[in-house]
Amino acid sequence: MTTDETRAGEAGAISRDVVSHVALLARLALSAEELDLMAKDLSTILRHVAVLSEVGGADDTIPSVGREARMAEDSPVPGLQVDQVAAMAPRFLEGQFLIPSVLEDA
Amino acid sequence: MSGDRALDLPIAEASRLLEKGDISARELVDAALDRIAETDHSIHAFLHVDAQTARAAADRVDRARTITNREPRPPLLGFPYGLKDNISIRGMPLTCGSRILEGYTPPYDATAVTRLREAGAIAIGKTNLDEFAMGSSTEFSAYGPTRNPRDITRVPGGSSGGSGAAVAAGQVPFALGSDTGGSVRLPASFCGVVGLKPTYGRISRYGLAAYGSSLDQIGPLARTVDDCAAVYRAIAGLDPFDSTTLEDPVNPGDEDPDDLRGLRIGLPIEYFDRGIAPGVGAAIRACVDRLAGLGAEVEEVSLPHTRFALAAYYVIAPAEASANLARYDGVKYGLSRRECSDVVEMVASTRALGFGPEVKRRIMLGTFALSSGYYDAYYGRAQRVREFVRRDFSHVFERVDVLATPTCPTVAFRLGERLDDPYAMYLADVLTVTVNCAGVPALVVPCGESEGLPVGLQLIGPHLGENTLFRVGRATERVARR
Repeated sequence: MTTDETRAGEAGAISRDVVSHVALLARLALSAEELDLMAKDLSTILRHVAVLSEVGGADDTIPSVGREARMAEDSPVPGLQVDQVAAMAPRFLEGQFLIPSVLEDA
Repeated sequence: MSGDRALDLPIAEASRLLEKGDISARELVDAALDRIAETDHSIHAFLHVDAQTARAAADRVDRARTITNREPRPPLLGFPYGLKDNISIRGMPLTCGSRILEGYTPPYDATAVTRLREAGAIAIGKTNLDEFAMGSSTEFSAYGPTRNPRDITRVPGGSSGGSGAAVAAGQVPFALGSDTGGSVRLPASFCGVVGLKPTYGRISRYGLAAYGSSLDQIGPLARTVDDCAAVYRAIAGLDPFDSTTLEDPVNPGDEDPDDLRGLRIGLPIEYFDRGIAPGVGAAIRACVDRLAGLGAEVEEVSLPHTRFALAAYYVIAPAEASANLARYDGVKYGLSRRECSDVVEMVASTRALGFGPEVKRRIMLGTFALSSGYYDAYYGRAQRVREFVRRDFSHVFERVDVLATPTCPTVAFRLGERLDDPYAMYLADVLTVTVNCAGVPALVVPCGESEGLPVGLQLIGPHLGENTLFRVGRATERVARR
């Protein structure tokens, strides 16, 4: 993103172009109408969120995850069976999920 | 006694009748199913009811009871319950209130469901919610809103509005909800029932559809504090399937609720000056005065970073949501768009079709907050605020045992009133999100009325302070009845 767009975001307003780029990152195919509404709604929300810029504090205040991660016992447990997975999948063939071709002339 | 009358009794009392054989589990389950049939057309608390499986489970309980007297008796033996439809149970559809999970039935049980089954409880159906638990009114369900049983022109709160409404309407003695920023406590307050957001890590999240993983907790809603505590104790504890669960033992609590001598209650000043409706503030203060009459010492305290918490929450929760909901891609389960030319188009168009407006808004907000150039300004600062909020609570719990606050600035608002203004909807959470940011427990107990609608007292405790909350909660019930 450009420096200008970054400043715009920090000020609390968000342009339609930035919204369009974020929708691509989020894998959401939004309509033109949705993009306009989203730019308006996100700008409103970000103006309220801008209060965060008033908070000071050094980097040592960033929280850790919490307690130390605990290791799970290393013992086998039954997992999902292929037929259960196949029953849930929209398209499934010979043990694999089917998706549109990712290679040309595949 | 009929099953219908027994359904309205506290769990401990009805349990004694079951034990003596005065009523059967089948009668209780049939009574719950009848209530749902009579009332749910106007309330719409349930998305799915599995009468056949529930009746079969009740019959098994009744048969087993006549053959053997199991000792110790499972604490919830024979009691029907509802569970929020973002919690997995084998054999019932899981929608999360979203079209994107259309056709999906989970092949496994959530740990909370497994533990309720071990405690003898019978799942009767799935309750309505804001899509993926994102909302404060249950109006953002793809399957239509739930209405508040106290006034069907009002919302039941959200996002566990179906669970709150089902308990308030007497359809079930208790229900499970989930609370990421207030989603158990708002419905409890708006519908006039009891609701618990446990300490983070107290109840396994295994089988709960993830929204904000560092904030999410499953919590019970019930008619009384004792019932809520019984459900909590049945499902809390360490779970190997959730590495964030805590090892600390779950202890019973049996202190006298009529004597609060030695208990210190803090009133955080920041929770009483944020646009609180006068009737709500008055009900809370009147209740706290009565608790003082039982011997509690009451003092004003300060949680100075409260005013930043809502902004921090609405960065952190959407950021986590944007990552958690990336799994809904139309490939492995649920809705999937066909005839797309490439994978990105298939994923993006499936998600556009399957997600509703509030979920899209939060995914976009979270993706934006985590994107290059914005991360430090939003997510980094929000995490810093979260730590300050946590420290505020740590400091204040060195002085007091419990905090008493309103749950929401207002009573239940009207359906449609806040739908066009996302931030107005978010403001309903302004007094609840701090608790999730800090990971501490909070209990909501009905304490009075304003405008003829329930007002819930929010009791906030220190880390693992659930038993203190139950003690003060029981006292609140008693003074509220007087």
